[in-house]
Amino acid sequence: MPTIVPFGPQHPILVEPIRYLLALEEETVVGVEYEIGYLHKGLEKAMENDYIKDIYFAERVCGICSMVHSTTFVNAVEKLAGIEVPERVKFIRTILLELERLHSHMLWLGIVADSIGFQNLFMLCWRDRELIMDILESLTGNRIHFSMNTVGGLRKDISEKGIRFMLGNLDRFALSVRKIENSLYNDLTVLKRLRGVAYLTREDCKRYGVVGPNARASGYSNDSRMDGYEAYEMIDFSPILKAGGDNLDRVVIRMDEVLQSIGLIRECVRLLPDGEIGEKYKRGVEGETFFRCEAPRGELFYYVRGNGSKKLERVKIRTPTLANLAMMEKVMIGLEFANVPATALFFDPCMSCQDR
Amino acid sequence: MGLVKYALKNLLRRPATVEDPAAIPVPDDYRGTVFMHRDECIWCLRCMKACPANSIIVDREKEVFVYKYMKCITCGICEDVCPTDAIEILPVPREAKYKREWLEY
Ligand code: SF4
Ligand code: SF4
Repeated sequence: MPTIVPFGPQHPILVEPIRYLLALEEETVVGVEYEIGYLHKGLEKAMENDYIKDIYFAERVCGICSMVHSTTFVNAVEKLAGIEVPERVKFIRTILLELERLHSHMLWLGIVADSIGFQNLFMLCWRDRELIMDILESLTGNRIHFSMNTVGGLRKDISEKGIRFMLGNLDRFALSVRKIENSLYNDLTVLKRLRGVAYLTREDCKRYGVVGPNARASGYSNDSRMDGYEAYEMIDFSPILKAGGDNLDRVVIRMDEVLQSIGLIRECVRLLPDGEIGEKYKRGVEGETFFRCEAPRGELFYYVRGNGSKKLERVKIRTPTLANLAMMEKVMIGLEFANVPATALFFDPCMSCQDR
Repeated sequence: MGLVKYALKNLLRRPATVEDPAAIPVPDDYRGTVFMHRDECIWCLRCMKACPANSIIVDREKEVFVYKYMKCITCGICEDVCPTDAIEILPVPREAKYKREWLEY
């Protein structure tokens, strides 16, 4: 007879409010169920509103990746209204999206390091993440909610001074990331905690619809950036893949993506064209469409329907965490109980997005 | 030996944290506190209609202008739409307020 152990919604390690019910035999997990919805805010309903105001609602779906939410929403509306934004806008949006990926991955690494008992690394990661937050603050005027996007362009251009500051900080950041990588990959305890734990094959990823870095760590290439939205079609980009599919590879792939993102930002700055940052357009959208972007956690999906007026009829958001939760059942079974908290965090859950 | 060198280097470094939030330098175009110049307002109601958080209430007849500090998300739209620049967003970080009355102005 297995013992049922509740895990969450409030747990010192799992900061995200999700409730797992684990069936344990001795120390091994033999069954798992989860319950979501603790953070439901009714944002989709609130977004049946003027679509210019909706951009700010979309930004506030998530407290970490606000830019990707507003970019996806704005792109969907632009697709519906038939607006083509200027090239400079595309490049600036790409720079901000990649900066967001940097700080999201560093935040994740910090929390994960904390969960496996590596407190020092947690502080180092969050210290270096501050460099990125400073860049974002100087480019956009705010640390998290940038309010940069608007339909047809941007509300504000980025300055030469901001770009110089960004490149300087990025150099320092890249140096720190190399140091962190060094200490992480050479630590015997870390390697023992991570290698071979929570293994997921490529076929499993396909079957459970895993997205983002978690899928790419198992060698399943699904990266919406390959669709070529914003400036990704104009820069040289191909997703990183790993074959391991265990927790160690989930760390390695994110660290590699951090370094790749730094490269992408530098390339965007090199190619950044001059020009307008906004396009004139007529208000009111009709029809329905969807748009996909690659958030730091995986594929983000927005469905938008309008009826010809300023107000939207329906907005549907599918966030990467919702897609990733299904495979929890697969990876958790067979784990030692001590590995459960770390594994629950290794999938980079963001419940705020997930419950909307 | 490496450890001693590392410890000494860290001892001589500046701390990564700042003590007083007010001492953090903010960029010039930081969106911090919303400030109103009421005498410049022409009661056009544009800011009230544009505000996504409904944090501004303007009444043309009674000439009242209420700004709700706790609702504002400092997006800066009101500053953009105001034709007379009666609303200004200053690069001053938002702070805690001690009295309830100070939250509406
Ligand atoms: S900054 Fe934005 S939320 Fe605040 S009052 Fe102005 S429009 Fe409203
Ligand atoms: S937009 Fe400016 S002028 Fe018009 S009501 Fe608001 S503050 Fe007054």
